[in-house]
Formats: sequence, C-alpha cells, structure tokens
Amino acid sequence: MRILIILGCPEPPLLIPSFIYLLNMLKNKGYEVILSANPAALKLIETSDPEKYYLKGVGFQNIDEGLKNKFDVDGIIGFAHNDPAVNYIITYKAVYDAKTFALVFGKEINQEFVRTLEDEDVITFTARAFHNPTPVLVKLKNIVNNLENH
Amino acid sequence: MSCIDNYHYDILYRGSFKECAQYIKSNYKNIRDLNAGEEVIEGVMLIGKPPIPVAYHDDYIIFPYTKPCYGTYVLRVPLKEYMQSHKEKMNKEKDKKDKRSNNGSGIKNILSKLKFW
Repeated sequence: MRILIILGCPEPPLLIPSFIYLLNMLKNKGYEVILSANPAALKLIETSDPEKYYLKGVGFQNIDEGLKNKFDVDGIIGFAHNDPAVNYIITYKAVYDAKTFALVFGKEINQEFVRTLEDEDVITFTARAFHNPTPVLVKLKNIVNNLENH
Repeated sequence: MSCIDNYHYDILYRGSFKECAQYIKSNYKNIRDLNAGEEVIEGVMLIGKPPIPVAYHDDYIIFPYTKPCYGTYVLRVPLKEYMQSHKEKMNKEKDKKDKRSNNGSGIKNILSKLKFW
C-alpha cells in the first residue's frame, strides 16, 4: 500500500519528529511512503536524518508539484495546524481521490478546521499539542490502525 | 521559484481561505466556481475548499492563492497573461497527445518524476 503524507509549514516544534515517528511506523508495517511537503520542511527532514536511516526509499516532492503530478495512492495523511494546511489536505483529497486522514493539532484545537475537514469527508483526529509530541503520537497510532481497518 | 512568480500579479487581500473566497464573492459579479486542484493559470493550481470562486473583471482574472506558511491571498493577474498561459497549456496538452499516439504505450509512469531519498 502506498501512503502519501502532507506537511505544510514546519513551524510547530513537534512536526518533524512526529513525521519521522510516523514514517518509521509505516515502514515497519511495510507501507510505501511518499511525502509532499514545503521546501523548508523537506530541508528540516533531511537534516534530521543525515545517514538516511529512516528516509531511505521514501519518495518526496514539493507540496505544489504534488498537485500537478498525480499518481495512485491508497491513503493520505495530513498534519493540519493552520488554515493553509487544511486547504492543502482538502485539495490533495480532491486531486488524488483517496481515503484521507487529517490530524488537527495546536495549542488550542481550532474547531473550524475540524468542521471544514469533516465537511469534505476527511477522517479527522485532534491533539492539543505544540511542543510535546506525545498526544500527537498517540493519535498517529490510531490513524495507522485505521488505515488497516478501512 | 514558485510558478506564480512568472506572472505580474497584484495582491488585493490577505486572510483565511474562507475570508478570501468571501472577498471575491462580495466584490465581483462575473464569477466561476471551480474545483480544488484545477489549474487556473499555467502552473498554478487552485487550493482550498470547493467551490472556489474565480472572478473575471475588466482585463484581469482574480483568484485565491495559498502558501503553506503565509496563508491565502486574493491575487489579480492580467487576462492577457492568462490567455497566453492557457494557449501554452493547450499546446502542451496537444504535444502530449501527439507523443502518446506516437509512442503507442500512452501511460507514462508519473512516479518516475518523483525524487527518492
């Protein structure tokens, strides 16, 4: 199964470590992972794993390029902490037409983001977290379990 | 460099996607509702919750444009540049079709365009 992960602005401290955690989880389960992220997020990820221990074999593309080059994916997982991330997740769902999960997180949960995503049939999880990744990791495990069940 | 930099655009408004969509709807009459992911001008895709309003006013096309870190903007691009980009798009599609019919195989593996770590 091929999973596409969407990362927007890498401003929240927990974002890149949580992505690496999710990537490790998905690779251990045998998923093929492709990443669509903004250029700064891609640089941060590369810097976090200089030996490409986790990143080996992972496909990547600019978040805007991903909307132009469509390919088949079995699922999409998006991190949403701001308005643009919500819009990118909705757009990716429309373009790739795949089952989509979103994790809305932040110091406070923005209920409007949750409503907007749910209106577009995105399966949405929430975690109140910004610095400490633990609540996000718990929800990521739920998302990965849901991937198998759907 | 992002593809929007190839155009001479003006920023009319900045806000959340919802606010930008509302700005277009309340300020312009000639509006088309398009889907998320549609290419509004060559190289620029529409991002947001559909229906996404795109307005045509005087000699300009007006649409919402989202950047991951900065939010959504309402941009105004001269229609002349839009027509040019549209023509280029049509030519490209035609070329693609020609190539496909020449190759016979048709399906190109898009995954080959991806980079891998």
